[in-house]
Amino acid sequence: MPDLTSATEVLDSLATNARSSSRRYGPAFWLPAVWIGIVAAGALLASVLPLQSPLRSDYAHVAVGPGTGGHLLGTDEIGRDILARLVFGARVSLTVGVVAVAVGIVVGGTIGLLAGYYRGKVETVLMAIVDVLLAFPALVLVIAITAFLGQSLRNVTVAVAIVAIPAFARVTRGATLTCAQRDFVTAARGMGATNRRVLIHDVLPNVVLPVAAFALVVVGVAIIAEGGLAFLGLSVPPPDPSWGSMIYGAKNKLADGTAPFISLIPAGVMLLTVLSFNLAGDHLRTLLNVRESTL
Amino acid sequence: MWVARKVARLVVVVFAVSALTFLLTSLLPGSPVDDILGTKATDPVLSAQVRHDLHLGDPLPVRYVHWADGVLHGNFGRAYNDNEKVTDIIRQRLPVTLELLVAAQLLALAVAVPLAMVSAYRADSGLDRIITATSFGTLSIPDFVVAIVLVFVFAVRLKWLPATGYVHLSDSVTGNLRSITLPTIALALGLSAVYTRLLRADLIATLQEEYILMARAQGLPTRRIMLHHALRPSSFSLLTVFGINTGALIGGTVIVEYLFALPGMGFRLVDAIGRREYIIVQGLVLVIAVGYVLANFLVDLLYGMLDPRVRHA
Repeated sequence: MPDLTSATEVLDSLATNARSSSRRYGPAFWLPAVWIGIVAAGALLASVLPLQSPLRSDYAHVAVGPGTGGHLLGTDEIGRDILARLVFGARVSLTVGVVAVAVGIVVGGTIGLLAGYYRGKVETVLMAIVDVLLAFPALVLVIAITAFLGQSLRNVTVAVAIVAIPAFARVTRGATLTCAQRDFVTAARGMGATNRRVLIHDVLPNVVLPVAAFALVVVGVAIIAEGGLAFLGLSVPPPDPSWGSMIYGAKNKLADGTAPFISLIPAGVMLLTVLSFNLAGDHLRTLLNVRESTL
Repeated sequence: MWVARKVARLVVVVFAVSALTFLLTSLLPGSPVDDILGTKATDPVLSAQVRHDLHLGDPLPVRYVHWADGVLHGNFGRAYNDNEKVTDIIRQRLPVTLELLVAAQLLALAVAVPLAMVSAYRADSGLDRIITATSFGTLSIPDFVVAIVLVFVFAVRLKWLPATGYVHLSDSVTGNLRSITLPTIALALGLSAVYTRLLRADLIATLQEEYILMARAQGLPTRRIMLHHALRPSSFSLLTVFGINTGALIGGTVIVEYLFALPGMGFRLVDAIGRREYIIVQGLVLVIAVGYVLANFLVDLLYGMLDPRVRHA
């Protein structure tokens, strides 16, 4: 599973990948945006869309391919509509991804902002806490927390958020450190602005974009983490659909070659979604580099 | 002095990690005795045993001291249904996990280093773009998807390799290699993408250096410049991430071990969760986390030895 190490790595390597401005708004920008939009709309509107039930089995059509028996994407190993399960499963993936990342940004971002701006003792104490959380391998920490808390959407989200917090603290602190040394911050303080004002009006706006670029990549990591938990039987309990449990549930149908599409369709959807978030993060980073270099 | 500071830090982090791992049992929704024993919680002898082993009558800090004392004396706890000890599990299963870890890391490097060199040597060429885009895409593919697709293609369709199971090295060398090939590839794919991108970026920076220009002006062959002049100074971040991953993989192999039914630590961890053997889970998490901390510590030390500037930063 791509760890947060690889998430940071994606971003670091992207810095060397700045593209020419002519391609800045090419398909690599709008295709991921459109796909994320579709997935998000599906997740939000799942209960009002004209979908079949994601839980009810159609025993006349079990494990049938796409387009058979009124099932646009076919049915799974016990005859449930794959499209409906995909759309409802998007809720799980996006909840885990977006909520965990939001918590990570708010808690981790605050820690990083304070540590990077005040330095000294504040920084030592805050970063010590962060280092301890980072001392656990991310996947094992997520597995351990869900194993002890019990499996539910809330607990999976909590576990991923706890892992995301130290990562965001690190990234935000880094961005704050560079920003706090800039002339306009010194100027603001020289003019007698309070620390609070400088943090909110001068530092924060300059930290938001790099953190947002990182956040997009972490949403992808979180979606994969949910899938991994589902494989270990630790994500949302059945029969509720999640992309991970859909891939895992039909893995025997893939292994014996009778109905590989039941696993491959959700796997493809997960892959496209994660790829889209990575590309979006990449894009934001590229824009940032352009902005930084013109400063 | 620098080493002493690092060691002091290591001690503090190991203490904090052990305390957090200890606190995991307090996350249990019910009473520890009920959750650990499950249906056997009504057995008065067993539940008294658990209460005694975990010192449940004592306040939390005292319980931690008892627990840490046990750990320092090699007692990581045991399962209450079959009396299996955490230390036995580690002795039997760590070698399997380590074999998978080493194989995956070596394969990832063997793929990444040549790709990164080809890519960096002609940055922005067609080949470089293909390699960069492929490795970017690969980062978005979860290892469990790679694993099931590999099983589908190589075990089910082509029937070249076994889909699950593990053959011990002492039983058959080829059998052993065959049984870990697919899990190794599943793990190595994502790693190699990370390594390729890291090394490529650093190589491109190194190749701008004047001594490379000098070597070129002297007419040295490309192969020699890349291998002898550029590779070594470009491999610092690669080595760092390689070291961190070595630690992370002790626990990071969980899903792949589980899917391929390899009897490693990760497999047992998942098994223990399913069987609600919380003490085993706690013991394994501690071992994995401390292994990760130690690996990071060694990377730090090695880094300081390779690059003296780090020691004074």
